[in-house]
Order: sequence, then C-alpha cells, then structure tokens
Amino acid sequence: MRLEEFWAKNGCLIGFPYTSEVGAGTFNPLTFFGALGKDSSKVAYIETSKRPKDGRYAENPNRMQQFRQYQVLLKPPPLGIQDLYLESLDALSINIKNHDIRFVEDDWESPTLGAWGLGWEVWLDGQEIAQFTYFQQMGGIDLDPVSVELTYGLERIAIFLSGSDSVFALPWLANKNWSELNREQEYQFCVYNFDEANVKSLFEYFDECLREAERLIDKDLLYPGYDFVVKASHTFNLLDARGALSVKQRNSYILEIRKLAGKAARKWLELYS
Amino acid sequence: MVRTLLIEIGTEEIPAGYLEDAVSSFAKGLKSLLTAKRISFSTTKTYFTPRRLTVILEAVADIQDKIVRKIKGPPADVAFKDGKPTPSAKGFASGKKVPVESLQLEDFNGKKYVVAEVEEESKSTVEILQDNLPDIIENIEFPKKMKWEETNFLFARPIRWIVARLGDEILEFSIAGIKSGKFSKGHRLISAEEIEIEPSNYIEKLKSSYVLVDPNERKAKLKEMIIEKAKQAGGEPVLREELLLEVTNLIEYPFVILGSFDRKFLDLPDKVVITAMESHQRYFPVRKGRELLPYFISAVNNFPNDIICRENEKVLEARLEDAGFYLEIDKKVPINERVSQLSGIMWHRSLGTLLDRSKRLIKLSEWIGKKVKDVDLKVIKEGARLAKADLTTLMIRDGKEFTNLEGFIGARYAKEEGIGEEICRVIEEHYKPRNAGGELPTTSEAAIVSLADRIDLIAGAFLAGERPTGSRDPLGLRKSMNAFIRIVVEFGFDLSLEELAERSIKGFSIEAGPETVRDITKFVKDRIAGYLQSIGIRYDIANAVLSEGWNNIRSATGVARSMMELREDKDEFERLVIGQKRVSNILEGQEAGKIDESLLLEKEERELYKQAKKIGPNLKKLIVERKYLEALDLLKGLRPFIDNLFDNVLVMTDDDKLRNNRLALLYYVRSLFHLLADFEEIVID
Repeated sequence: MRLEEFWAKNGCLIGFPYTSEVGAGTFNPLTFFGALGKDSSKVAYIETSKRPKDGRYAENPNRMQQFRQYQVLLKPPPLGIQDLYLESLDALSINIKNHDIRFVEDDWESPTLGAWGLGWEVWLDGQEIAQFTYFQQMGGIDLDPVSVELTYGLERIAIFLSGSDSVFALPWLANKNWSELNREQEYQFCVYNFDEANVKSLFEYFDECLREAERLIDKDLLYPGYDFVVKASHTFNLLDARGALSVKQRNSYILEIRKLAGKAARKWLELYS
Repeated sequence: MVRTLLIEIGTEEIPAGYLEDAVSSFAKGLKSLLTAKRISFSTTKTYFTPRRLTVILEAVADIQDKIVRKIKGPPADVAFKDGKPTPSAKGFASGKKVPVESLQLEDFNGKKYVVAEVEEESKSTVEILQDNLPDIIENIEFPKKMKWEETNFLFARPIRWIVARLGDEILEFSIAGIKSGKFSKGHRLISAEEIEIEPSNYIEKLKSSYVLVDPNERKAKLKEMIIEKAKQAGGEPVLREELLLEVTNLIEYPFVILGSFDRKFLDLPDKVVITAMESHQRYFPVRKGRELLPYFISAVNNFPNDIICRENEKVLEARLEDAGFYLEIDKKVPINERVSQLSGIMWHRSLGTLLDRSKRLIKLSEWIGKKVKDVDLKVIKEGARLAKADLTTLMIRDGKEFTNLEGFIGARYAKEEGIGEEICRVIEEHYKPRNAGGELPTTSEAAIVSLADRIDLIAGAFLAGERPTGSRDPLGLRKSMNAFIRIVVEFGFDLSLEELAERSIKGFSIEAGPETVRDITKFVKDRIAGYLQSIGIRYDIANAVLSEGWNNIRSATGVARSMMELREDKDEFERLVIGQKRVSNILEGQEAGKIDESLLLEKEERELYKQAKKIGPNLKKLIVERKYLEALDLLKGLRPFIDNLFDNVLVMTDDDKLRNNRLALLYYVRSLFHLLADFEEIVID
C-alpha cells in the first residue's frame, strides 16, 4: 500500500494485476506493451506470479509456486532512478542509513517474451529483495527509448519488515500468518502442478492457445490475442513442471511462444504508435 | 606548462568483473590519443570502484608539440629564374605564409622542386581533449553494454556524472545527456552529497567521503580487516584470492561485519557450509586450523551495525537450513536407486538419458582401464556406475549454489552407505580438473573415469551435430579436451586416441558416418597441436608428429620433444629432414608395390635396402622403449645411402619392373621415417 502511494505520488498510473496466470509481472500488458513505442509510460501495480516448477510442496520457505511482486515500469528511466528507488525503500520504513544496500549484477532475460535487459538484484543486508532492470528488448524489438523495470519481492520485504524468520511465520491478514492462510493452498497446487495436471489436455490446450493467439492477432484483436500468448506460456510452464517435455520439445515450445509474443509486439506498434 | 589531467566517469554500479579491463581500455584510449596528437605526459594512474572509472595522467603538456611539415611547391626552374624568385615562387611562399627566402630546393625523382617548411599550428590540449573525449569514453570496452537514455549511448551501466579537469580548468563536453564538470559524488549511503574535485586532491577528497578509489588500497585494507575480525572470532579467515578481489570491487569503502551461525550447522559437510557462504553471499568463512568455526565475515556497504549483522545471519542460516533440508530428504533414497532414477533425466535430446550415459561410462572406463593396466577394474566400474547418481539429489538439482558440489555430494552419500573409499574417490574426482589450472584426480582409477566422461561428451556432441564453431563452444568441448590431454600427459597413460574415439562412438545408438570420425579426429588433433605448442614445440614439428602419431599423446609429446632437441643443431636436423623429403618428392602420385630383392641390380639400391632392413627392427624397438632421440639418429644414418641412390641410380627408368621395384624400396624407406613423423611437414628456414 505504501509502495502504491509512493509511486502514485511519483506520477505512476496505478494498474491492476493481470487476470490470466503470469510467470512474472513483465507479462502484464501494462509492462509488455508499455515498454514498446515512443510514448513515455509510468505504471505501478501488484502482480501474483505463478511458477509451477518452483513449488516445493510448501516444505521449503524460499521456494514457492506462487508469490507476489510489486512491479514498476518507467519509460524513459528518470535521471535519479536509483535514488528514487532508495526513497521508495524509505517509504517502506526501511531506513537506508542503517542498512547495507547493494546493487549486485544480474542480467535478466525472458526467452518466451523475447525480452532481455541489464541491471541488478538489490540486496538488503545480504537478502535479495528486488530486481532492477533496464529493458533493452521486448518481443524481440529493440526498445527506443528503453524502460526501467523495478520488481519488489513482496514476501521477502514483508519478512524483513516483520522480523519473521520465514515466510511461513509471516503475519499475513487478520491475525493469521502465511502458513495458516496459504500453506494448504500452496501444497495442493504443488500436487496439481507436479503430479495431477492432465498432460493430454494441457498439450491440446497449448496448441489451441497458439492457434487462437495467431488468429486473433491477425484480426487486430490484439489484447485477447496476447492473452492467449500469456495462457500458452502458463500452460507450457505446467507441462514443464509435469516433466512432460523433452529438451527438444521444450526449446521448440519456447520458440513458438516467443514468435507469437513478437507478433503481438509488432501488431501493437502497428496499431498504436 | 604541464598540468595533471583527471577524468572520472561516475556511473551506476558496474559489475565487479568488468572494472579492471574497462579502466585499462579507458587509459589506453586516452594515452593513444595524446600520443597521436603529440601531447606529452608522464605517468598514468588508473582507479576504480563499482561507481567510477578514473584515469589520471601526470605532467600533461598544455599544447601540442610543434611539428614542421614540408610542402612541395613548383619545380625549381619555374620558381627561380637566374637565381631570383619568380612570381610563381612568391605566390607559393605567401600562400604558405613563409618568407620567400626560406624556400628550399629538394630532389623528387631526379627533378628539383621548391619546398616550404611550414610550422603547423599547435592546438591546445584542452581543445583536443574536449573534441575527443566523447569518442574515447564511447570506446571503452565492456563485455556487455546497454542503453538507458534518449541518445542511445552505449555503456556498461548508466553514466551519471563526469569529472574532467586539466589542472584547474574544466574540460567541457557532453555525452549521454551528461555535461562534464568538477563535481563528483561520495559514498551512496553515507556521504551522498556532491564534492568538488581537483586533480591534486582527488584521492583524499574521495576518502573523506568514504570512497577508497584505489583498488589496491581497498583490497589491502579489506584483507586486513577480515583477518582482524577472524582473530576476534578466535581463528583465521578462509581467504580465496578470487573472492577477495570480487568483493573489493563490489564496494566503495571497506567495512566488515563478523556474524555467527548456530553450531548445529557445523554437522553439515564443511564443503557445503563453505559453499553456502562463499558462492552466493560472498562471505568469508572462519576456521581454526582445519576446523570450521560457526562464524562468517562479510564486507558491507555501510557502517556496520547489529541490524545488518543479524539480517545477514538470518540469510545465511536460511541457506544452511536449505542444505540441511536437502541432505535429510536425499538420505531417504539409497544411491543404487538413484542410479536407476537417472533414466528419468534427459541428458541430451538426441543422445538419451543420464542412465544411458552412465552405462556408456562403465564400458568405456573399463576399456581404458584394461589398456592402461595395473588399475583396479572393480573400482573403476563401480565408480563409473555411481558417478552420476548425485545428479538426482535435491542438493544438486535444486540447490542453486550447491549445484557445483556435484561429485562431492555423490561421494559423500556413497560413503555414508559404506561404499569403499576408492570408489568414492572416483565419484568425487571424475569431474577434475574442473578448469585449466584445476586440481587433477588423485588416483588412476578416478583419472580413467574422468577421461571416459570427457571423451563420451565429445563423441556425443559431435554425433548430435553440436560441434564447436569459432568462438562458440556451448558444451565446453575444447575445455574438456584440454582436461583430457592434461590427464593423459600427467598420468603418462599410453592410449591410442583413435581407438578410444571409435570405441566411444560405438557406445551410442546413433549411426556415425565416416565424416563424424574424421571431424572428431581433426578436433582432437587440433587440441593436441595446441597443447604441444603450449609446451614450446614449433608448429611444424607438432604437425609432423601429429600427421603420424597423433593418436597417442604420450608418444607424440616424446617424439616432438626429441625433434626439438635435434633441431638445436641445424645441419644435423636438415640432414634428417632432407632425407625423407627427397624420398617423398619422387613418390608423389606413385603406387606402392612389393620389393623383389632379385631386381635390386645396382649396388646403391642394395646398400640402401640392406641398411633400411638393418635399422628397421631396431627402430621399432627404440620407439617402444621411447628412445626417440636414438631412433632419429638411426634415420639420420640413412641419408648417405639415400643420396647415393639418387646420385647414381635413375629411379624413374623406362623399365616398368625396375622402376616399380625402386619405388617400392623408397616406399619402404619412407615408412621407416613415418614411424616417427611426417618430415615433409617440417619447414626448413
């Protein structure tokens, strides 16, 4: 909430989480399309990210198949962006004067989105709490101007602020901690992702998503078309978690999603810039 | 007048690994500019932190050195009539702004012309630097560059300020939307305000703003502080030079904290605990003698306090907790079951699973073991069978920084199940050497499985069409082959690589065409040639030896060394080489037949034949005994007989029978040379 206030005060449009499952806040059209084109863009929103393969049946406090991110996209990057970022930590009551904050090299890439950028992990007293990336490409398109993406790991920051030892003990809502509220759900989704998901229908659905994406984008129905790209990506992640993909298949599926993401990006430029 | 030049490029955090090369490329650019523009300077100093790259040049001249250029004018006979300057000469002189009396005459291709000596205008250093600095900064080399603002300037990370001064003068230019000036910045978290910089007070000013800009000083101080902290904890730090260097380049000013963790984590294998500290967190472990202590030292980027210390402790304990969790879960599955689980992991899309690979390793290792002799085949087979089992463990599959403990973890789990020490050693060490200068396996058994592992990777990659091209070698085949050569050389294994490569290809279910074998052969040969050159063998000798004996590295090295030795005496060496060259020249394009002794009519033929037959068996014996110098000596002894034959006998006679017989004799002679090398490859200077 305080992040939202801070970024709203700094001129960001406050956006909403995306309605389909995404693997990162970057998939949200606010970022994916927002990074394209010449017009400046400032948006901030919370995102629930799902990465089926990262789940550990709620046994490992650092690995979960679902987590929350706060996502900020600024195009073009303001001059004092690092200082602004530090101020946002201050808004979270993290007094930077008393902490060890470091920008540690981390180059980011999303092969399915055809996107990459250079930047850092931000370390707070040895813990990674955020990603800081200057996007260079999105949907395979060289960006001009480039954007900067800030992604805060909300669970990590919450653990830090509350002084809890792990996400399980994290006070979450209405006097309940994370475990009480989410652990069962986390466990069940892990069982689904790793053991129960119906591979046959996922394969069919994946193909269906690709077809729909292609068809809709061709008809200039860009947003629904892109939505199917996002859905294809999540379906791919499920198949991957189920261990249903050979290495070769895996690569060719990534390539197909990337192709469509590129198509969506080009269509966006054609229609809106 | 001379002044000090200072350029500081202030940036957002540049990756630690980029800094040193970047600053030297920056200095190189500056120095070559000044040299090219005839601006003198004395010493160069370079400094850097993650947020700045700085070059200081002392005693930089204010203007360019003078230069006098000669400019050719009209021909002498046009310029002067009766020793007096004509209007043509006067016009030329005034055009070049020199007095007409100063014109001289010079010869050009036998004809005299008028020449004016013109002093070129010297530009000021300030002007030259202002014009050229943007280019120089743009050309600083980085492994990766990015853009961040509207001019799409490329640099490792965004530039946020530039200090550019020659003495007290500011060099004015602008790049990437930034104007140069005299203000730098202090430490981001401690002393963020702008500071005015002069070349004379640069280091001190930054120091008072908590920036130690000299990396050597920063490193020395950091090291001292780490040792001091370790002493407080009652031990000494585990100080890997590489890590120390990296950490030095992650901070602007050295501060360190001493943290501790729960003693219970010391029950984990030391290597696991050390990896948890070193690889991701970049902490320095503390030990007393051989014993690890429950402490760590971390460099931090702010004044140390209890909060920072406690938070870092939490992070480390979470990682150690992870490791403990992995160990506990992993223990539930015995290693034999892990071997069968390998069938569920794809190694490579067209080369099958890790279980397939594991099975090939057993066979190949056993085969090498039999060739090498005097090794424990049981240990080899069992070691090879279990070598890859740890790839199914959580620790390796899931453990992020722990993944580089492959081998170690397998050995550890095997040991806990009571598997013999020698077998565990194979499991642990079959990945060695891990890099160019890395430790070798300590037993022959481990070394043999390491060889099998690498040749299986190389053969597999070639079969799957993933051979290295140019600078691309994603599977690290060159590195693998270099490790292979090192093991063979250091252990003195006597192995035919050709056989080994064929053997290894057979292990795959893919049909291999002759071109695959040929390509692998060439790849292997190139690597060995590279190795021979790296130990000081001339390229032509390496080629000569490899054309014949490439498939055994040990012999190839021995022969090549002997030939290098022989080469010290040029005449002797030539005597040897020319012998084979004469023989080979005449054999070009001819068919080989059988020698019929009764057709050896001439004395010279018979003598050469006799001599060759005499040395043949000796030669082979010497080669087996690896007495290559003596073997070369025997070959050298053939030279007079060869010369005699060529001088007195017509080899290419019209009589078919005689001619073929003589050619057959020469074939035989050449085959003796080829037991050692193909001397045709030798270049005689």
